[in-house]
Amino acid sequence: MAPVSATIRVQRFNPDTDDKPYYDNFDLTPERDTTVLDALHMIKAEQDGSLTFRRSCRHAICGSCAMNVNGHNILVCKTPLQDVLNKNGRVTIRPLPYLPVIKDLVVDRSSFWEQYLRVKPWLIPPEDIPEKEFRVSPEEVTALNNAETCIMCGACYSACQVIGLTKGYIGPHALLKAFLRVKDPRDAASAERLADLAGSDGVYRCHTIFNCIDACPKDLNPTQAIETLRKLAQKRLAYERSRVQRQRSLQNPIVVD
Amino acid sequence: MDKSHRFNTDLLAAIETAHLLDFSEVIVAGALERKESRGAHARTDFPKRDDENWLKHTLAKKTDVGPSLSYKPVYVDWERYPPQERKY
Repeated sequence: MAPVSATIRVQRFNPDTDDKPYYDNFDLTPERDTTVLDALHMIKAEQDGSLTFRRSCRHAICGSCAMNVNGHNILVCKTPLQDVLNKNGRVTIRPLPYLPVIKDLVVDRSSFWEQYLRVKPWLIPPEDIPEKEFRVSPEEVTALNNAETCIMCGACYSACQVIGLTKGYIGPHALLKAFLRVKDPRDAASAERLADLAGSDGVYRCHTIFNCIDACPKDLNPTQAIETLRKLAQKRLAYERSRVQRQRSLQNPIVVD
Repeated sequence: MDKSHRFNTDLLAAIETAHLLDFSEVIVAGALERKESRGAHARTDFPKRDDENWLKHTLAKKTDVGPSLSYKPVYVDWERYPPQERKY
């Protein structure tokens, strides 16, 4: 197939000099295997060096290059330009939605990382750690639903309409990580985690819009993880309540005379 | 070219290119001196690993006339993990 020229439409914005964002069109001739990121590189190298975007590994493992292309959050490094053209006939690249733009396609991810830290994403081991390694069964690993393969790219976070409306919401990325820790047989803080996650910014904020599943470049399922956390949080609450009930009835036994 | 003061990735690339040149010089100087083959450092003129002479780290210092090389011994646990040639 002879190379055909393509027009890439890119949202530009430098808050220091521009009143508001605008679009630039760039024409280029892609090869058969040109990715959307390659196209951005071609534009930056050959047409406009001031075009600014984040990228690093260019094989979908660093999570730097999540952007909004034709209305979908994707990793531009793993998306062939031709696929986008075949599907939509046009290419419009915008920064991740709902996040403050630093410049062009670069967004400020501070809130993303702040919410992430709220769920204590690290492992909290039990006091009596085993002498050698922790043993984890294949079933326990399967139950994690590959959640550990999340690359923290922010595609789900910025696709979530609840995030757009409620800045307090912990967000799909952090709740997925919380799910990973709650289900982790090596973690000793599940109960505390579930108590935190059942708060007003936590699992009940999710409106099951499923945008996070749509956006995830690693085919993960944050919505299902959030649903699982909800169920576990309910169970924990029910257990806590019945425990309080039991203690009360022990303290004040009903005396029948 | 990007001349802005905000998130200037063009400037960043220029600075990084200068560093890459510095480190290329260090790598080439160290590799020329290391007359053996070891891992990714493979020489056709010295195809064998030479623990007797080259079981040591190369250190490079920046001078006006290019990198100046010195060496530092490698910590080896001879009891438990004596060095041996890798064969694949």
